[in-house]
Amino acid sequence: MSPTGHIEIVEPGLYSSIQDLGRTGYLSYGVPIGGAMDRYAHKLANLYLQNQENAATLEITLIGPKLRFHNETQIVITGADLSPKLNEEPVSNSVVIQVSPQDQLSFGSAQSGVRAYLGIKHGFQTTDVLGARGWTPGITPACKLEKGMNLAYIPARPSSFLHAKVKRHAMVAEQEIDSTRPVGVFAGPEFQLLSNRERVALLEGIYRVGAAQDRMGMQLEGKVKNSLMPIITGPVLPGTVQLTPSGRLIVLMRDCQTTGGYPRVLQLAERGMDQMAQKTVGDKVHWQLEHLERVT
Amino acid sequence: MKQQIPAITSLGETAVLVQFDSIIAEDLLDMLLCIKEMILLQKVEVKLQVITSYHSLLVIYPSAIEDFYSEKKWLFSVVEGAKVQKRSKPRRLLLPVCYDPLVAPDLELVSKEKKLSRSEVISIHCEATYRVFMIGFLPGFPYLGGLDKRLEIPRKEEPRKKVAAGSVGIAGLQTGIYPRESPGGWQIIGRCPIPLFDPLADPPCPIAPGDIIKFREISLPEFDHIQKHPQEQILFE
Repeated sequence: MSPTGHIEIVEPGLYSSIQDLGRTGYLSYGVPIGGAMDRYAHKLANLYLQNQENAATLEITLIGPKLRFHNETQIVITGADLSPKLNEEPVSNSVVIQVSPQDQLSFGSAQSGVRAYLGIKHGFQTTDVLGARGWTPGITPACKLEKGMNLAYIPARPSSFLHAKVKRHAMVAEQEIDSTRPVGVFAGPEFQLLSNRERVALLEGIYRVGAAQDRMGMQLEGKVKNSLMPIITGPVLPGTVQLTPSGRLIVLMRDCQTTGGYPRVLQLAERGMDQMAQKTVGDKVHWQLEHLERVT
Repeated sequence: MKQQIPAITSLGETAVLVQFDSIIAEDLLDMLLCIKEMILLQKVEVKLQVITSYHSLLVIYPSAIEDFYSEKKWLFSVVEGAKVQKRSKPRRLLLPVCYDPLVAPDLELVSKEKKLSRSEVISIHCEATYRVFMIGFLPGFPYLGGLDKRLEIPRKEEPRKKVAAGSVGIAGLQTGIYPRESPGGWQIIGRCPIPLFDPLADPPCPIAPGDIIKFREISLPEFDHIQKHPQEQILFE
């Protein structure tokens, strides 16, 4: 199968990028893992289309692009509800749509969540760089959609097949974007170095997403006074929550660096990462401590 | 090296951190690299990723770890095994660096601050042998330990907004190279014409953790020549 189809970018929107499940095997060279911010929504889109879970989707942030399809295929939108429209007619998330040449997909206002995923049959066929198709600044030639760009895909004939199981799954997914729910976290490597009072302050605090937030990380507003010393630079992961000497929390996201020198007080649960991906400036964040195991 | 028992703790659902006491030392680096090698060899079938840093290593599993107890038990046994394992010999690399004022904006400052002539700063930087403790901050940015104490200098109070690609910096007792243009706070004393990160190459980086690095001084014309012919051999043993 060759990518003979393409989407034309009529308007790029705020920040849309091709994503998958990220790069593995290059962390020792400082290459970020990257990949979809909300992996759950990304995988769900692929599940609807019966793609591989790693097939590339388009991650769309808050203000969606305007896209023109040049070949027939099937698409589905998951994650945030950004009021999608096909040829100016509203369409729903979590419904597989057959598109024809010249169809236009656009988006309106954000109803819930921040990041939507546009899945396409067989996945987007952007160039593989270091084992992944997802875009990461400094690694891939492109890092976000630009006007006039083309996105390649493999055209697909109409198909009406949609598994009942997938539909049920969708109902669960739609309940998932709820910004009032606590974000699941585990204790991080330096959590034990906090005093009891500091731990309580950290875990019971209510924070807000600050203005400094992107695919690398999100700074939270709301201070946690602490007396932790900087640590010897050590490994970090997406989902690592760092505490700065001034008491600020930084949640590392998918494109984060591979090492860091601030104490790692919490580590987001996988589902917690997906929840954070659906938050934006001003949204509330509070934690729910989970326990992996008692053997430490 | 004294017998150390590391702390082995989970980092979320998919990773385990193996952390030794906070000592930055070459024998600990060798031990960590040996543990990494053994981890990857013993579980080839699981697609594990391992990041090493100064005194810890992180093992990342492809999906949620089901049985932390047995993974930790296994990691303890790998650490025990690594203590008696013969270490593999590190690679040695010689990197050309141009210290011309045109590409070394902080050489003057370092020279004044450390009360050394410019040529003394250059020869001290070139005489030392460095180890790559880790690659981080930016893809391909090597943290090199082994800087001579005579060149120890803090980072800039205000980081530069733009440090040129290839810039060789010093900070504390470390030296490093910016693989691409980026903001940065290290004191820039030279520039290396060899590209240190190419996402289209595999591996994307000619340097790896554990490598031994030495620098050799080159002139500005040589810098230009190597930049145009980056195939220049950097391996020297």
